[in-house]
Amino acid sequence: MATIDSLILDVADASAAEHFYATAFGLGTRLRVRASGAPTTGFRGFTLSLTVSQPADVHGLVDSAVAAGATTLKPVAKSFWGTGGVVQAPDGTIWKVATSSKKDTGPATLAVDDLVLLLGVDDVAVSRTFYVEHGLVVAKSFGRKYVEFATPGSAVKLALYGRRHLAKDAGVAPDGTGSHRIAIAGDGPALTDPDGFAWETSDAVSPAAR
Amino acid sequence: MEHGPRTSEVVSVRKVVVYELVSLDGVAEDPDRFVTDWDEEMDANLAAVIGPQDAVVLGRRSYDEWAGFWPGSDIEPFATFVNGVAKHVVTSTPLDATWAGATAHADPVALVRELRERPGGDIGVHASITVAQALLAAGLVDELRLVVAPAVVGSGRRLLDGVPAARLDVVGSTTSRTGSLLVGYAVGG
Repeated sequence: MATIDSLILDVADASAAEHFYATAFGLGTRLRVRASGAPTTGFRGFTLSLTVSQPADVHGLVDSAVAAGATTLKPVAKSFWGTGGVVQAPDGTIWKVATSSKKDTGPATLAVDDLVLLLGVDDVAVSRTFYVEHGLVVAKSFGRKYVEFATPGSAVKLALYGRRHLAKDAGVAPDGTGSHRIAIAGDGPALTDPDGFAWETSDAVSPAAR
Repeated sequence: MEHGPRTSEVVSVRKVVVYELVSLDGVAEDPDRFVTDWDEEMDANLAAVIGPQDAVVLGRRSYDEWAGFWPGSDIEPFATFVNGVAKHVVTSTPLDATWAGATAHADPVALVRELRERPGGDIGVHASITVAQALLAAGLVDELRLVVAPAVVGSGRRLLDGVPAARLDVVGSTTSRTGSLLVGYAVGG
């Protein structure tokens, strides 16, 4: 499971979601959607993060998402870590757009450097061990609070936060039940992680699922 | 560093500066819980604190957390500073993580006494609550630079628990745009 090829969002209205993502972010094949009616309430336990190179691109992508129908959860603001804002897509997925830069170096390009899947887990240490045992390598960590994996060649990066921290970072309550409404498609076998996040083998995702 | 002594005759001009993020009720542990806003003035204040520093003293727990995070970071102004500065780590066991410029030391008080006898810039203590308390108790801290967040958290380790009674002189105080008090105290002794 060393490589993540794409993320698959389980959404109520697949064509509406496809239209939203094509209009708002333009992430190409890294992000796919498929129809699902799996019950879910509240926080789904993950957020997606778009890493960009400067604040102008954060503003640009957040504006683009809002124009396409997203709701603002946290307006764009500076933080110790850089500049970021959080929106919720019409399908319910929470998106953070962020840069470690605090100053613009040029006009906005809306280019996305990285797509990062942040899993909000019950116990970061347990999940870290699980993923390391399945072949991932830790690139960066902050104690028992945060782990970022090295995913060379992946279309998507993967990181772990505590579920409460992640919800707080996104500006939502941590409570939630039911489906995560996301699957991770990679080059490894299908499996489910300690928090119930599903990994699928990329080949198993048939074109019909789109 | 520009604030360092110019000649070897100048003795002990290195200031020991403790920089901490605290809640209004004095908690320093896990500042992510109470520092929820960060603005330009807080960045400028941090830059002013670390500018004259060419050595930092870290506790083992802070070192282990930071060694996993900062080496690959581009979060400025702190990343360039902390990756490049000499890091003196107080620990009873060898360091597992390798981070350029880190050395292990057994006793924070002996370490800082020794550092102060060498020429150089300010000596910073960041995070590392136990180390800060040991140095305060030993009378080795010249300045406390606090970012006091407008929040009461109730639980968590407090910066000044167990520190002897003292009167401090305020050497600068301002409120940042998002409401944090940026305050410096000269510690007598």
